[in-house]
Amino acid sequence: MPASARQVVAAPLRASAYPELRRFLRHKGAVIGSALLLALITMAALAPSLAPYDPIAQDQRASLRSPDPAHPLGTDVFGRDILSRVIWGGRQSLRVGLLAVAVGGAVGSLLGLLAGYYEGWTGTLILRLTDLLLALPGILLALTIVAATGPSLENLIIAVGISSLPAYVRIVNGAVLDVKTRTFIEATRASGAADLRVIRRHVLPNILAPVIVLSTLGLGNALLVAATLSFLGMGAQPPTPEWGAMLSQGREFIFGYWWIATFPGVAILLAVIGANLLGEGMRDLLDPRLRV
Amino acid sequence: MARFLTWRLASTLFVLFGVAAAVFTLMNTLPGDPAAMLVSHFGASAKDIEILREQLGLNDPFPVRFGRFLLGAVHGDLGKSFQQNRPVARILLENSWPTVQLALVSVGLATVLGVLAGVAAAVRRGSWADFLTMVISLFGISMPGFWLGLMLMLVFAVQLRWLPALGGQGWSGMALPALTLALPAASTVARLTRSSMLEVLGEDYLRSARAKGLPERTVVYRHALRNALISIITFVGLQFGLLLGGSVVVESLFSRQGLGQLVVAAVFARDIPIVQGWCLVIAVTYSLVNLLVDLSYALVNPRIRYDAR
Repeated sequence: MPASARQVVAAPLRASAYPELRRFLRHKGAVIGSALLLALITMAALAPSLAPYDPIAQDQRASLRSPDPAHPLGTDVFGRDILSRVIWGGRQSLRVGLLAVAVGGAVGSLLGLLAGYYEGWTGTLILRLTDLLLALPGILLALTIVAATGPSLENLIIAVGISSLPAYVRIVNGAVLDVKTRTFIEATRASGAADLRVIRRHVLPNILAPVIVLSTLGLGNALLVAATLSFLGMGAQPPTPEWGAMLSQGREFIFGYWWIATFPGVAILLAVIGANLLGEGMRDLLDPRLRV
Repeated sequence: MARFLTWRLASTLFVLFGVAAAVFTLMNTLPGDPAAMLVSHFGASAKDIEILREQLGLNDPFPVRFGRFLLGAVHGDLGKSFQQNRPVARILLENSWPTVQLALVSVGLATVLGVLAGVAAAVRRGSWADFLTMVISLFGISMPGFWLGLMLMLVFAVQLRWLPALGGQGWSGMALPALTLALPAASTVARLTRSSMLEVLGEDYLRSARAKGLPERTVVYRHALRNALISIITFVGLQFGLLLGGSVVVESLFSRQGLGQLVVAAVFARDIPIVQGWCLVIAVTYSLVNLLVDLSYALVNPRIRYDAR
């Protein structure tokens, strides 16, 4: 935290059209992180034209080839090109991560907002129910939910989303409680504004920063949890290419075929590093006091 | 202190009751009939399944089943496994020791490695050692645990052949799973230690400690680290929960006996009593660890008194 604070103070106060953008561009971690994420998202989006092979079509003659010019990352036991599967796999893995963050962030922030704005039994109920979610470590909570609902990518998104709820509820709740006591809110309410208007115009803008920071930091974790559950067979089902699921095949062929277990993991690593760097950057820039 | 303790215990009990209710509801509203799944291999008739449902008590109304589950759980009876037809509590107990062993070794390793690296980085802030620690720990927190495990397996078991890849016994079998769990946790601890140490290192009392001629080592470890320990302890407590979660993956990865492997198998077999019982055991363990963490604050930092109001 002190490092970023110093940077901010040292930055000359220049009149600029986009001071936020300038500060962002000066933060090395944030720039590297967002570049990494953007590159991976672009790669996944352009998968149909980027991938040299069909990610699903099997070719027994090309089974278990080590990396060579034809297959830069080698092939798996079904002769499928690993590079193509990693590129296509990004679609599933990144989609699950991003949607899980969206689900968790939206529902969690809403609950936190309600709990903070309407203290009393509504707030108490929401906070106590959140405590229940905290009784299991995140990944085990997600595992339990997938166990109950059955393995599929959709259930995985919901499970990972729910397991990330408590952080949003607590942080947003705290922020709302803090904002609510400020004079300008009191004034708006006294002038007869409806709750919805007060929340939209005055509370929401004030809780945006922690929510943005939490969700970028949470993206890395969501990607990890999703990959882990997929690895255990509780996410993407074969033959869908997905980074975590690809690694479970890699485990079977760890003796002699190192490339199957290596490259999908590198993809996950890069995505999570990107999310973590961007998240830490956002925290430094938006809300340096936030402890997540 | 007594008042705080009572309040904390009461809320812990409430949470555990809630977890029991939530897990039971979730597991019992699943699509798919566990009785049918149990005997599906034997080509059982609809009548056989009905008899089995009656025997397993699956036909009783929901509140009756939940009451029975809760009453049993309080007495340490978590029901019988559908698959193994043995008490769940005994199965969990048999499988818990390897997991606890693994978790303890990993927490120890992670704490020692993480604190040492974090202190070293904070003391030499801005040096290459600091930079290296931060970069390595960034990789550590960004790596999927199971992938790290696979890579360790590749290097130490497949290439170097120093350690067994799968199902090893004793210390050599423990090494790779423990490292797999400990390295990411150590990375988090290192980052946290570094930032808490940086906060503390600027304090006046450290200048005083140096001014009165204490050796630097004493200043750093006795005076600074002790004050930085609060947030570190919280984190190690939280890490313990993460490690219990990580054990699910690591045990499956290394084919190691334990609670994690047991529950993954149970999930796929829809062995509901096992999943249920496991959830409760984890929730109880996790809540107790968190309680201990809260209490240990007072031990580490005498300025915190829970009854001071």
